[in-house]
Amino acid sequence: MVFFGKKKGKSTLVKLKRQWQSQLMVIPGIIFLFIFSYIPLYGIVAAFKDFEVSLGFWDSPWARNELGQIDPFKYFRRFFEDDLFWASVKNTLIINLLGLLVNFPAPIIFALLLSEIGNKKYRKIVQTVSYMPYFISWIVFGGLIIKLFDPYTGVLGQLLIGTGLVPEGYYLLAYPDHIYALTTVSSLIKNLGWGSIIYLAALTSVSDELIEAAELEGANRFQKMRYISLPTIQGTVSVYFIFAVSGLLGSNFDQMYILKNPLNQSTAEVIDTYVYQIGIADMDLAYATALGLVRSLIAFILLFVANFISKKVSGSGLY
Amino acid sequence: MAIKHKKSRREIAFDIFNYFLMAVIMFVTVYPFYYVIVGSLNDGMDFLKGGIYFFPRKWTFANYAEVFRRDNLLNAFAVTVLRTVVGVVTHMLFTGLFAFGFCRKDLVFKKFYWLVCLIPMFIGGGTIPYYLLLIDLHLTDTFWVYIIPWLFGFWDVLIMKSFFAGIPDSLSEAARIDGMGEFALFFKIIFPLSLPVFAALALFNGVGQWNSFFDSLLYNSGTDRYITLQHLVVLMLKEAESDKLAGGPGGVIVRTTSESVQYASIVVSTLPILLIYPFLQKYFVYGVMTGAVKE
Repeated sequence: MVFFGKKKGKSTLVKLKRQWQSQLMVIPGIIFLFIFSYIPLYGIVAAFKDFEVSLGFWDSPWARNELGQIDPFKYFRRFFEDDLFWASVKNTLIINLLGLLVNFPAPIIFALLLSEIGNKKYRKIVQTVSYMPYFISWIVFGGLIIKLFDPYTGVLGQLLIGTGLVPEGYYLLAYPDHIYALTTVSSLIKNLGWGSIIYLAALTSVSDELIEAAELEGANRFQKMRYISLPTIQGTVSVYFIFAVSGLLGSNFDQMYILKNPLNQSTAEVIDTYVYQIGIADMDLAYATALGLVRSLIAFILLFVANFISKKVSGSGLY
Repeated sequence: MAIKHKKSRREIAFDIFNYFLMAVIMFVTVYPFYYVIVGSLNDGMDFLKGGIYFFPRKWTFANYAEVFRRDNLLNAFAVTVLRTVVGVVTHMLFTGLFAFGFCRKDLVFKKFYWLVCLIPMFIGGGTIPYYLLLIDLHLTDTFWVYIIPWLFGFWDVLIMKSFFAGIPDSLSEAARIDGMGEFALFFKIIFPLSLPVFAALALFNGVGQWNSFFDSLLYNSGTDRYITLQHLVVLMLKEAESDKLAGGPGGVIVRTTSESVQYASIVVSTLPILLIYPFLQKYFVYGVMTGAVKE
């Protein structure tokens, strides 16, 4: 045994010496991960401390309650009484559930419809155009929305006023009632085309034999779509469903940040923008860290729940 | 042999509906951009009268001239171009070399490296601890906060890895026997053979860099020097919007930046992407397909 151990040790050294260049390529990446991914993990302790930037993670004292006793869960208790936080949770959930209802199936339907377009050139143009918004920043896209709904100069703002649906000078984004719809529709336009790529790719694997057999049996196009195309992409659909459910507490920071304003924030404030507000703008770092931690814990649990549901319903999951 | 079958009336109706629906989707997608370009090419005072939807009424390039006369915008433009170029080159180099080294079959500690890479995909510290780390590293309020945290991307490693797997081993082996070092092997043989995948990933990274707003807002709000174009557009839009919200119907509207100049700024901050996108679309699609196959 000792002999083998020695031999193995020696050969590892020899190997290392022979592959030092390969190691030199890999090690900077590993160091990078230690700094940028693992140190922030340690930084979670800030949630249990009365954190002060000047003292750092290590030297900041543990959180204490009003009586001066050590109370590491002080900040976790605080969020139970934080109405603004729960409002942001509610908004996040509603926006994401609407997304699950609308923005999740839309690219699937779009891919099915697009694959029914016979004219190749037309199909190509539709694809090129519909992918485009995905590459535009949310800032610009949100900026377009703000400008389109401008009551004095914007097309949609003036259209709404012109048709008498809203009074003169009505600025849609100044009212909290419309934010859920606005968020959902803007996400739909931005991601519809790009989201469909994956399903279009899956659709190319539909077997020709199956299609021909179905045609012989006299199946029409709708039946072919329902009984051949849809089952083909089912695995892909499951995977993306799991991602969608595990992201229920996530949000697009840039999108919400640009759409949010002082008058609509009762519905436009989501967890991510709230954590930013508390942590960076108000510098309440320990509390914001605690909020972030709770959010990622729930997201982690959701991943398992979604995988479980997907396995039960469709028989396929991530693992 | 495909069987030609006559289309029923219902199917023809479906076809018409389908072609029409696609046209509507295209219009809804393109029109907002078209509208902003129209607004940016119209005289500022005239624009405020409203009613400009499809063509400029009073043509002018003055809005663009005004945009490029502003020091803060020129500075933001330079910062954004620089971060995109430097960021993409360093990211591709750092991540590419890592992926190549990582692919070596007899790499010592490979299992350990895998583990180190995989764990952060499932758990992270969150926004605030990351922000505090950047403060500790003295990266906030510097240009380098746009470069260093972007150096490494494990998704890109996975995509490169699956591409490298398709390159015959004999090629590398022959080069090694000839005494070629790993770095030379990467730059002289592997990189030229992997150009498509590198191009696709570089494009995605470049778009991410160009569009990035979060890091400018969080890490560089303390100084105006390193604000990016997206961040500047946000500041401009928010300022104008708060005037509007305060002014309200019939109220006094004090616009610090004219509407048309804002439109021109929006166009400038996205034009490079709109211009390159149609030509590079196939690389983008290639990139997402390679990534998807991996799943």
